[in-house]
This record gives sequence, structure tokens and C-alpha cells, in this order.
Amino acid sequence: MVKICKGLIILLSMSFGFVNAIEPITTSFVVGTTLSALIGKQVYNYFHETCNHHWIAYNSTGLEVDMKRKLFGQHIASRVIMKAVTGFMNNKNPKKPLVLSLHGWTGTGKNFVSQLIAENIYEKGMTSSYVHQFVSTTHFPHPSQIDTYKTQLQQWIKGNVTICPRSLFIFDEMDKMHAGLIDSIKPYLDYYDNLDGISYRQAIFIFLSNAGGENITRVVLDFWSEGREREELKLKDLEGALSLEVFNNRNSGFWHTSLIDKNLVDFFVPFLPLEYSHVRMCVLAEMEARGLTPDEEFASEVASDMTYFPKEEKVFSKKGCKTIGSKFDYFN
Amino acid sequence: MKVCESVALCLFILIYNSSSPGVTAFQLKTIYCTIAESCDCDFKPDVQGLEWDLYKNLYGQHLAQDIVSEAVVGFVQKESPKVPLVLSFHGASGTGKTLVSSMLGRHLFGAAMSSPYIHQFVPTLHFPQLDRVQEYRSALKRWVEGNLTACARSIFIFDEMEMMPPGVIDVLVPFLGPSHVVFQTNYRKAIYIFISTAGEEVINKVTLEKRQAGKEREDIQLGDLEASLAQAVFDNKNSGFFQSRIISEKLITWYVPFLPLSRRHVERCARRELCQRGECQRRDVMEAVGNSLTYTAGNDQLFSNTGCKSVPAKVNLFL
Repeated sequence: MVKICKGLIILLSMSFGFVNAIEPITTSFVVGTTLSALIGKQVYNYFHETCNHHWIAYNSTGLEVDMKRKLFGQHIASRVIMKAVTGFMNNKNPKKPLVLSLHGWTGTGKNFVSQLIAENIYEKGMTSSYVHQFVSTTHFPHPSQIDTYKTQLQQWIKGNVTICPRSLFIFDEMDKMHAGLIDSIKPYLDYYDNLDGISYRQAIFIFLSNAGGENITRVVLDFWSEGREREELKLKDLEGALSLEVFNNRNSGFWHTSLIDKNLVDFFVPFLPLEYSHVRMCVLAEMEARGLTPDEEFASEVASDMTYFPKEEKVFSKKGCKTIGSKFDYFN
Repeated sequence: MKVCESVALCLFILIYNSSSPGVTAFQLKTIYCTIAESCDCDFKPDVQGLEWDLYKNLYGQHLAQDIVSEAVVGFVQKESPKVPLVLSFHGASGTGKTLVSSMLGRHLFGAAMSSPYIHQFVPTLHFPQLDRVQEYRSALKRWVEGNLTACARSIFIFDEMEMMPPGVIDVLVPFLGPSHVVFQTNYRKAIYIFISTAGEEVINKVTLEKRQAGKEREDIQLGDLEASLAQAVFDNKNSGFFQSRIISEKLITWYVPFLPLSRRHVERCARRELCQRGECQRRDVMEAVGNSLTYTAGNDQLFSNTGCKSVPAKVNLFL
């Protein structure tokens, strides 16, 4: 096609020499289309999202600042995620896709962190067409259709990684996902050079679930009972117990799947349950987001109104930072 | 190289027209092959490169290094082998099986792993449903037949054999044996690689016994493992080779066991990752990575559970 065009243009320009005149209509048409073809593609790419470095660029300082200012009480998670994502995005030749598994109590910030990651990699954030979110209760509701879901999921991932190798896949509510569905995408997470000609090594997979929440809470509670600082808690204290609990939990989407057998999950990131002070910070952040002036007393009131567990100690918020927004109207 | 090929073409036409009827197609092909780059479907065995790669980048697998380099080097240098090369890799996860198969791909074909003559099958993707075994058998047979006709030196890699529905792999039995040349296709020049974790208990047990008896890791010989490995794989319901004729008819040329990795090897993997990022001298990161992995086997926690699989991620964490 390009060769034919080039040939025609050459023929047209040679015709000047023969007749000593320029044919106005054809010439302007040809010149016009050439110019628009050259410039038009760049203009199109400027306005419409394409898979290149203008629309996909990792901003590591942005992510760090975001997590410091907006994520409360998760010192382990923010450190691990920073290191994992930065190391992966800076690696020109990753050997396998980045696979993160975020676990923890409800309302502690798992979905929020995946949004922060998406916003700091993709120009359009969560609305980018290269960010794909699957919620197991919405996208895979019927256990009887598991085979269809498996095929569809494989094709979806294969198709989207072909379009853009730097895709982000977020799987929410993993603990409600049918065991065996995740097995179907396991080869994409592995150390293969390419599968059927497509390389999955630059993709990112994030799995979110509540599984392991009780175990994590137990460890944090022990720390609290011993009077130790929350910040003293290290990843190693939690890691071993976490992956075993997730693996053996019948309700977990990871139950006896080969993801853990083959160790394809790069990082198990634990999210700790939130205390009173963290809930207060959530309230203040919400007030700022709504454009209200931060009021310490109001924050204390809202935070005290949340339910805390365990029964005697009443240390951790049962719902994390969820339902704070609705309490605003109640207290005002 | 398009220019070179067109020059070669002009040369043929000249030679063909000008010389006596004694010029055969074979001689023309030889001339063409010496000038053009892609010939014999891009098969460019780099024997030295392969051996160097095996000895430098594969840690803790003396058996695999010896068997693979000997077998493959001998095979590719033969113009007309008697049987195709059938290798079966067994070992725990993270010990280097897929790595060795990609090394083979890289050093045998010019285009490395993206060459169209290397075929990789993953049962979870290609043979997912247990009730369609007959379909898979006929599809696999057609695929292998067609590709061997197109390129006699193809490489077929079957990964994750433990997920393969039993009965599918038996359709390859006629291709693996000493078949004769059919319709000018030489089926004996292909390489088949089967990768699985079946038999890992046998291998781990023998390695542990040798270690506890105070022997060196390098003292483990193939003879200690081969027979029990073959038997374990044949009897294992989950191995894809369950009651398979491939084992009973002894069609596998070499069983290659991959031994579990100890902490020393894991730290070397970490060192290689660090060197790739230009931070060779960070011993503290190497030790931290070694500490953070879990080890099992015996009371002394000798062998890493996951081999070298989570090392690149952990290096990111500690760097």
C-alpha cells in the first residue's frame, strides 16, 4: 500500500517536468493527504490513549508521596509495595510479570492502594483502557459456569496483553473466587519467555482478598499486648503464617492452587487492622477531600463512634475506614 | 541480507543455464546455504555457547549440566541421527528446568525462543479440559506431523506435564521411536523435551540421603536415580505419563533429574540478579535474600522450598 502511494507520488512529481505545469487539484489533494497522514497519527496519539510512554510512565515519587499522605497505618504494605513496583518498573527486562497478593482486614486500604498504583503508572489512572478490574462476585458469579469463565478469562488476558504488554490486572474478592479459576491463568504468571508468541513479562497482576485477616490481626494484637510499637512489626513475622493460612483456607480463592506451590506470587502484602488514631486520620483526610476545614474534635467524635474489637481491648476498628463518609451527615 | 539472497539467486540461474546436466539441486542448495543465512529452518547450533551457558548460569545441577551438554552436543552434530532426542526433566519447582529448555532454544536457533520452529505446550492453556482428550490427541498429532514436515529440526517442549490429561501424550509414540523416513520427512532429527515435577520426592529423598551420609552433592550419579525415577513417574497418577507407553517402551533417551537447591545456590542466584542490575558487591542483600526464604527437608532445613523462583522479587525488596 505504501509502495503504491510512493510510486504514484513519484509519477505525479515527474509529470511536472513533462508538461511544465502543476495540476492543481490532484497535487493539493496528494499534498494534503500526505501531510495529514504524517501529522494526523501524532495528533491522534496525543488525544487518544495508546500504549506508549506518553500514556504509561511510572512516577515513583508520586506513588511514595501518595502513600505517605493518603494511606494510614500500613507501614509494612507501603514499604513493600514501593520497593516491588519501583524495582519492577525500573527493570528493563523482567523475567516474569509482577504478581502482588494484598491480604488483610476489610477497610484497611487494599483497593485504595491498587488505585494509587494505577494512577501513578497510567496517565488516565483507573479509567485507562489498559487497567482491568475483575470482581469475582460480579464477573464470575455462577459456579456451574466455571469452564466458560476459565476460557473467557484466558482469552481476555491474552488479548489485552497483545494490545499492550504493560497491562494491569486487578482481581478483587479473591476469597470468593472459585478455586481452580486462578489455575487457568497460572501459566501467564510464570517464567516463560513467551507463550504462543506473546510475552507476559511486563504485565502486573494484583490479587486482593480478606483471607488471612484473622491471622494478621492475631499477630498485631500480640504485639500490642506486649506493649510493643506497631512499627516494630516486620514482614517476616507475618509472611510465613500468612501464606499457610491463605493456602489452607477452604474459602480462599487460593485454596490448594499451584500459585503458591510454584511460588508465582512475588509478594504477599499484609494489611494491618486500623486503630483509633488511624481512623481519626482517615476522617481528617475525608474532611479535606470534601473541602471542609479539618476539625480535631469532630474527627474524635466520628472515630469514637466506630465499633472496635476484640471485646475487652477494643483496639482495632471492625470496618477499618469504611462508612466514615456516611457518619459525616449523621454528626452534622 | 536480501541483496545477498538475490545475488545468490542470479548465480543459480546462471549456473543452471550454463552448466552441464550434471548439476544437481543438491549442489545448488549447498551454494545457496553457504551464502544465505537462513537455511535448514534457521537451525544454527552454537555448541560452545550452550556449554558455556549451562556451566555458568545453571547453579547446583551437575547432573543436568553433564547430561544435557553431552546428549545435545552429540545429537546436533550428527547429520542423520537414528532416533530423535527425547529428554525428560524432573525436579522440584524453581530448580532450573524451564531455564535449561530456554537455553537450548537460544543456542540452537538463530531467533532464540521466538523462533517459529520451537513449539511450547502448556497443558493449562492448550489441553485444559479432561473430556476432550480425543480432540487433543488428533490435534497434537496433526500439529507435530505438520511441523516436522516443514522443519525436521523442530524442538517440541511439553511443560507442566503433571497437568497433562493422561493419554494425550501417547499419540507421540510413533514419532519418538526409530521410524524410517516417510515422504522425505526425516522424523528422527527432532528434539522433544518433557518438563514436570513428577518424581521430585524420589530425587529429594536421594539428595537428602547422600547429604546426611556426608557425601558430596557431586557424587550423586544418574544411575542412583534413573530406575526409581522412571518407575515413580510411570506409577504417578498425576504425571501425564501415567501408564504411558513412552516409558514402558523406553522411548525416553535421557532422564534428567534436577536436584533441590541449597542456600548456597540461592545466594548465587541472588548474586546473578544483583550483577544484572549493576550491584554485584552487595553481600548484605544476598544474605538478606538467603535469610528470607523458607527451607525444608530434614531437621537442618537444607533445601529451599521454592528453588530460585522468588529470588528476583526479594532482591527488589532488599535493594
